[in-house]
Amino acid sequence: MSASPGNNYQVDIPVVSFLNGIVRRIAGTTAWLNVVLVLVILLQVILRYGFNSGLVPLEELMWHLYAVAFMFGMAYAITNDSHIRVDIVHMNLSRRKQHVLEILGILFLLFPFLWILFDHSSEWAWDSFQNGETSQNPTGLPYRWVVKSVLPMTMLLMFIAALARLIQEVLLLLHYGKEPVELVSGRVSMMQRFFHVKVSDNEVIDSADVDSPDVNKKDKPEDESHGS
Amino acid sequence: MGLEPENYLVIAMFFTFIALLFTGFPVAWVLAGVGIGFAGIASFTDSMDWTVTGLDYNTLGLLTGRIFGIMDNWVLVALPMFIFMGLMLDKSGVAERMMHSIQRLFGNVKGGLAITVTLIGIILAASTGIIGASVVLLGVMSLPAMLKQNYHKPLALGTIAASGCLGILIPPSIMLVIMGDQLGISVGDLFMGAVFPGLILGVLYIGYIYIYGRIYPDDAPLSADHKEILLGDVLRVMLDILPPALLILSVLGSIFMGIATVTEASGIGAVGATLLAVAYKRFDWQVLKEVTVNTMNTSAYIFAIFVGATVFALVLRECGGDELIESALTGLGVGPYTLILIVLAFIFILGFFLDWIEISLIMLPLLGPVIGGLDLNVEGYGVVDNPNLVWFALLVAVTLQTSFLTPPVGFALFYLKGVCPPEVKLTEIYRGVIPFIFLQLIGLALVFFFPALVTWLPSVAYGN
Repeated sequence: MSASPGNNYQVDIPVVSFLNGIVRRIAGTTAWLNVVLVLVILLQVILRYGFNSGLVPLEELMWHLYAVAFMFGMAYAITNDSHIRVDIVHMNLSRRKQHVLEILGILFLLFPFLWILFDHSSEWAWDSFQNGETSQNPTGLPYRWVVKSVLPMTMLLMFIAALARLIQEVLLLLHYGKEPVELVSGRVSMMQRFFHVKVSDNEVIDSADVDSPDVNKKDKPEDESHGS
Repeated sequence: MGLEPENYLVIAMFFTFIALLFTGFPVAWVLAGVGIGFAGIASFTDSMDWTVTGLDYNTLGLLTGRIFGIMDNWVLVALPMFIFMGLMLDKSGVAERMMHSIQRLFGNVKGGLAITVTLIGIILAASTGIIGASVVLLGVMSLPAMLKQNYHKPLALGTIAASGCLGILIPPSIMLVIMGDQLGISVGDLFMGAVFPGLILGVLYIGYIYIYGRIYPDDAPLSADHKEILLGDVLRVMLDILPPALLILSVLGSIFMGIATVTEASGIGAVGATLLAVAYKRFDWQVLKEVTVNTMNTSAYIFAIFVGATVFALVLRECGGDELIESALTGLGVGPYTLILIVLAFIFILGFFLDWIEISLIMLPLLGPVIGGLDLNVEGYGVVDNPNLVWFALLVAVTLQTSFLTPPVGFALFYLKGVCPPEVKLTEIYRGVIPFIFLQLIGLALVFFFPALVTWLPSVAYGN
């Protein structure tokens, strides 16, 4: 099973895919802020050490970018089930029990949290907007409400992602739809997804040979050239 | 010590958290949900005049400010950047390159392949400092080769698991960034403090493998096609090791010499890793996209626990949890060093169930004030701030490493099992890691008895 990120844990249910799609598209776009962040840091370093003038707005821009990327990412990580679980007990439970636990968890642990934070933070971001809050640093960035509104927006995105998951779990519990394929327990599969290593069947040895020819075989001719 | 009514809430909160963890629901949401739930319970018991916590719906409004405190945290910006750098290094193929060339260098040494694995674990700690990723990476890369060379399976497996765990200790480790943030100490100090403990462990590992290879040559055989090491080989090794080593050293060096902040160094590290990928012709649009999305995803699940732990900690504090833990620890009536040993033993056990992320985020803020207030004899040479906490953080780091290696439930073992060919048995992994656990304990004891191993380097760096 070649695991391109995002396939072996997704179930094909139109509503679920639609909701997940919204979250993935938004957070998939804001992920690029990480690249922008790299460039901003580079610029800042060049300015600071090359021209001896670091800029406060750039410094603030850094955490603005980082905050949006990781906050929206939390919703994204729900859509591909990569939040960390303690799966010692969990992985030995029947699918049915796993679904029930997931449903209860979303309803009684996740949803109350999302609601409370959404409620408080939207008011808080609105206040910031009305007061025209800016950075406390006189040369800092204006429009503090923009980054503050990321918090309620994150809660909203997480709600959409969690709702998708909830629908998926309920449908699977009722045996509509096909169970996702999980080859190995949660965390291991997560790591494999991120680091794109081959899955643990006999393929490993073969693919190691095929995939990285420079490690094993093709190098031999090169050896000779080195030796001579 | 009489218990206040609120204390029962605290205790119930901890037990509920632990019980719900085992349902396998994401840790971050268990933390957040339990926090919110107990805020509700506390506001009910308050209204019945049973407790005085002051928690209600409005108090939870404090959470927005707390979570915003994570968002505008300038030091933590380094976290996604180090993750970016690690993922990009992984994609650039340096690991395979180094694997190949270092192996050549040690081709005539019994156990050379295992030593190679350890060296890569040390040099590439940056790319592998993400939980389990190291074990997975090293396992996939080297296990087939080791098995093909007829290595004694436990030796091969133990080496991989243990070397993989080095990544969480050796700077630039993202665990140390988080520990620094949680304990309110300098990340630069922690990075510097980790240098000697990390090197000591690396040397212990390599020494063990070398001696093992001498005593049991059949268990660590040479490659069938090994040959004389030629000058060209040495040069090639240099060429392959130099770029990544230079990258890591310049990132660390600029922090150590006070030239750049941790955040700046991490961003430059990310640029450097990208340039390496370009130089090795592994860079294209697809790679950049994958690295970017995975950076977002990886930092997201780490930060989710930040957010969950923030909710949990706020409610816990309002219920008087901090004082309860402080008085429980000081009420043990043991000396400061015994207390630290007890705490480490506790963290060791927690390490069986929880990852370093959760432990750092839940336990360290609670333990920090207690440990910081202890009367310890850690030499700060007058220049290291909070030498006690720097030393303690590294003790915790080495303890966690050991914990992740320890059967029956150490994380590293399961990550490794996940990428092994099916004929490898879990018991073989267990047998393989036992010697390394002893080496870890030696390392831990050295750090414990000689705190200068941790604090000396930062003191020298600042002394100039």
